[in-house]
Amino acid sequence: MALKLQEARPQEIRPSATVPKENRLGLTRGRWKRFGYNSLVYLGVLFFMAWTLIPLLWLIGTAFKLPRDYTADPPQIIPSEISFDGFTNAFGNFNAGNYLLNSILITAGSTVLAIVIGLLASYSFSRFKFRGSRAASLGLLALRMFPVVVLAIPLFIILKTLGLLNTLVGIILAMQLIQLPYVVWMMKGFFDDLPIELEEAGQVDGCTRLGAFRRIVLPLMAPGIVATSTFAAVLAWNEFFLPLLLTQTDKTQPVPLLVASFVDPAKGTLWAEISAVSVVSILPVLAFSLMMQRFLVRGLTGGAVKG
Amino acid sequence: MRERKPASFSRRRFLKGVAVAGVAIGGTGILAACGDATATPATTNTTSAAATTAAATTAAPATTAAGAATTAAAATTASSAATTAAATTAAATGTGTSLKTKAAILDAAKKYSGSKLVLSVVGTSPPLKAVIDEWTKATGVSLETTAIPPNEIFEKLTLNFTSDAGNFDLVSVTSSNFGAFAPYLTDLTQLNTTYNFDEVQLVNMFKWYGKYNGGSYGIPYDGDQYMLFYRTDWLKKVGGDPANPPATWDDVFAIAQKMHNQDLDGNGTKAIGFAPRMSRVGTWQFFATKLASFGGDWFDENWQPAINSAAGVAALEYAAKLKSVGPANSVSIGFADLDKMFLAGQVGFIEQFSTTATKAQFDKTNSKVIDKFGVMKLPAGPGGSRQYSPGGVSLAVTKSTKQQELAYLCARYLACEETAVTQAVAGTGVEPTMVTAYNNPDFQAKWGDGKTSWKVAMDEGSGKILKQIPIPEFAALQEALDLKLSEAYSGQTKPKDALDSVANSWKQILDKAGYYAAGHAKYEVQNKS
Amino acid sequence: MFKLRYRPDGGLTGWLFLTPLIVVLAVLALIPVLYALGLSFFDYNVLRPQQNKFSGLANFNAMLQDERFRTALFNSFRYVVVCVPLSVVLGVLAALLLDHELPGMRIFRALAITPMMVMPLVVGLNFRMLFDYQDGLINWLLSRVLWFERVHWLDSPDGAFGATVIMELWCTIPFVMMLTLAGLKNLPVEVFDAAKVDGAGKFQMFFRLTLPLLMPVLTVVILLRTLTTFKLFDQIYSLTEGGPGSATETISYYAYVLGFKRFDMGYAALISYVLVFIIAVVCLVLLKILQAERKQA
Repeated sequence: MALKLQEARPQEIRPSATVPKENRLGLTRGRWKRFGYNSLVYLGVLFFMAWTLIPLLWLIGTAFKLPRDYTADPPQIIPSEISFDGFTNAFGNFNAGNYLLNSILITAGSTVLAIVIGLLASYSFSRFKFRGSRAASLGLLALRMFPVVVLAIPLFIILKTLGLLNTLVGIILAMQLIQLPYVVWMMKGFFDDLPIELEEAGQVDGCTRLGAFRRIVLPLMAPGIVATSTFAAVLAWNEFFLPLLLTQTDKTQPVPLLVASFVDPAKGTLWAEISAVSVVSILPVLAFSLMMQRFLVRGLTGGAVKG
Repeated sequence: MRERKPASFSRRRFLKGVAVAGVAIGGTGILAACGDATATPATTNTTSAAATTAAATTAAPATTAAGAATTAAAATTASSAATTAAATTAAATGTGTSLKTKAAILDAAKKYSGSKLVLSVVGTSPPLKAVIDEWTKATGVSLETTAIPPNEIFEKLTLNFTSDAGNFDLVSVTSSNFGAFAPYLTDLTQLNTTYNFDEVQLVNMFKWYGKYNGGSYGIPYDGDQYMLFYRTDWLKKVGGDPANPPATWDDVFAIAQKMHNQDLDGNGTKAIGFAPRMSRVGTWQFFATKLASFGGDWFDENWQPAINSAAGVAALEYAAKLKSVGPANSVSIGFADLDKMFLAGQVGFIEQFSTTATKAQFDKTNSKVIDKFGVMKLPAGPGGSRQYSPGGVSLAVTKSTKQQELAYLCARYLACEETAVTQAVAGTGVEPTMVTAYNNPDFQAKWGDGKTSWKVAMDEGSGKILKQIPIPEFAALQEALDLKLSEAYSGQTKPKDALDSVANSWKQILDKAGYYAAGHAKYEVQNKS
Repeated sequence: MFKLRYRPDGGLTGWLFLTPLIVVLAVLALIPVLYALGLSFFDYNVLRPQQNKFSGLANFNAMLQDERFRTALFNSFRYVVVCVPLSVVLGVLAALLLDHELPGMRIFRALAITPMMVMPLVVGLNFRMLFDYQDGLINWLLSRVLWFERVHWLDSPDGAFGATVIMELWCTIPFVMMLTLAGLKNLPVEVFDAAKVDGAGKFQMFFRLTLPLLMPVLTVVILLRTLTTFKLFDQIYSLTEGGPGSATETISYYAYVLGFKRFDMGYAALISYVLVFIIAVVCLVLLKILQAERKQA
């Protein structure tokens, strides 16, 4: 089997298989035909972008609106009067900064933990064939079929018994339930992608299994790890229901709970504050994933395609 | 990669690394958890050990160690001596300490300087920062608040209490939840006597807040009342008399029909007669107001649902009928929409909290109905002019707190007249619960006199009222009712069928909870004439 | 998937590597799963702990007669049947569009996955604003720009269903698109060029060549989407709260109501397990179908 070392590097520009040859970049034959085709493509992409981005722009715009503009006619994507009240209120009266800090701590902690545990586990599933490994990995997949609602109460009781209710550690552990199935599955795919010959070569050269793991496998796995950790981090960052049940005070409540507490059917929902907090909380995720976009796309399908 | 390391060595190193990392993570976690546990005893120990606490209060922290008078104590000995003297005599004589003014409350709490209280608040309406700051500055007691999403108060507090987490000293509880939470709250009867709570004149409508099974578990903090707001200019145009607004629901409907779809403002827009509140969560209150005046009740004395009685069905049919004089999207209208529509001048009648009056009259940027509307208590129905009391928020002291008296004082502070007026004037949406607050000149300057709602507020609770039922199962009952009402409004089910289905669900819920077992206490029927 | 294998000494080392995972999940996953299973046979209510008792199949009986459960089940299926095919088809289309290496495409690709970054809770709230009958942007576009009639999105049962579907599509098309895009990048160029030389038309190429080659990726995508759509909760919670009436109430939401409004844990556990069972069956069936397709390719 040919070594696919190129898989490990960031995405280079490869010609797209489905795009007809004459439409690929760089060719000069049939320029007008190509122009017409490309215009159609751009049109389609434009529609798709509009569909994707308009709700986002609305969200961002609402963050800067005055309450009376929530229901302006015609609806304003860009508010006629920019106001920072949403931000000042959220971060002042409602202490959004604290919630953000909690979210960051929870996400970072749980992602790191999930990656560490997941690395070991997926390496094992990928490399070692032992009784029950197939059952174990299928069981892990089955875990994902459970709605969080049903697992919440037993989890609540377990954490209470351990004394970890309303602690960051408790929530980080609870997040593993959600992150680990994905992490193990994804990274197992990457490991499957990495030919075993590399490690064997390393071992021949005198490394131990773990030495080979550290020096050869991990560096090549870097894009995969990055992709997986981004995905896991987004999962933890956006999780609402588990923190709702397992945290109780501002010491540990993450951002989704703050957003939920702005929703009040009786006194009126605070839309600007919701949007302000959401905008601020999307920024780190967005920045990180835009940076990693190359790795992300490559990484996420590393295993799937081969599977 | 040509090192020659012995195999076991690097494996050990690797595992060591993992172990160290694991211990580090675990260790910080455990320390964090412990840190929190050690915090509470530490702070209570730093309280200035000045006065003795009233004998009546239990579980008072280390302050009872009446050690050497500290300098802080010296400064306050004058006033605190007086208050504590009164307190100790109160235990004996029962005349109680007066906490009529905010200053008195703050004084009484000064002896706890250095402590910390944790309070759970309703997410969208936390106490003003200024209010909290004033408390902290005056008493030296820090107040930490935790916001709970309004829709989740029942779940979160239930989980909190049943898990003995003991996070909170004070909780903000909605009236209907006292049945579920009473076992976890301190009965305030004794403290109320000590501190003369009787002298506080509560608005009639709010007197039942916090009362459950003979005990008193909460200090009313935010009182809600529904009122009918109507356009006086439109009323005149369709032949009514603004000084004598329609007194019954049928009259209201007739007038709404006359208003509906007419161009009453002369600007081309069709008027809407009555904007209902039909969106699923909470719509049961919209139904309850009708149920009250149609003479219905929740149960009969044996806890059999009475919601589908003739009165109940009639009430629902009336409520559903309002759709015909309502906006096109009636079925999904919530509270905020009602305000918005009324202030924009689009609607003839709405049923809303009294705070709408402030917005409608004084919000110059948003309100188009300044001086054009009136307020009245909800109309009478076939069952008389019975009002429905929607309950509000009360502050309760938890059983798990180690600072009962301090928490109680904080609750009194937050609910006292001056604080209530400050918050009302700032427009937080918290409605005062004390008569004196409504009579306060600052309050009236902001809320106005006559045109607005405070007179109605005083008046409403003076007659018969239909209360919510503060039993633990109330959240479940309400949820089932919301669902079927919403179905009836959106045309998926007929009113009678909807209510019958609700009655069935309710029977199941109560049956499971053991209400039909022999010897269970009877329901105190509310619609006795 | 288990292609690469080491020599079978891996027995002990293999399990050693797995230890952290096992420890964590045994406590946090296995116990809750079993506990919840046990709960289905109990009459367990957090509000009345003194009345908890073993009730055998009572919950099961109640479920069979529960009309609200049937509605919820129907709704859950409705969502899966509508959303999954739509999101897959549209996602693949989007991927095909974005696969071209034209100027700016890279930015578009990066922007296209942003919906996945937003909290589901916030998405629901955002769309609640957008779908508002009077002031929502969508109805404004429909009535003022396109001259259609305003739609009763959140006021009517069917409108609410449509609104949730649209919202779900907004969230999930990026996911499908992203995976498909990666899959497309891996297609062998030479095969396609050869087919072109052989005179294959565009559609032919797509159905005979692209689709079968994408099958592995699509299998994963379809299974994942089915799984997640069955469990749908956060968005419904913030967009419609299950309403109007019970038009958008899924099993997950009903389980939430049972478990956390009524605190009737036993019954909630039972219907959640029913959901898990259904998911498992559906996924297995899908897997069989998709594997068959692959064999054909």
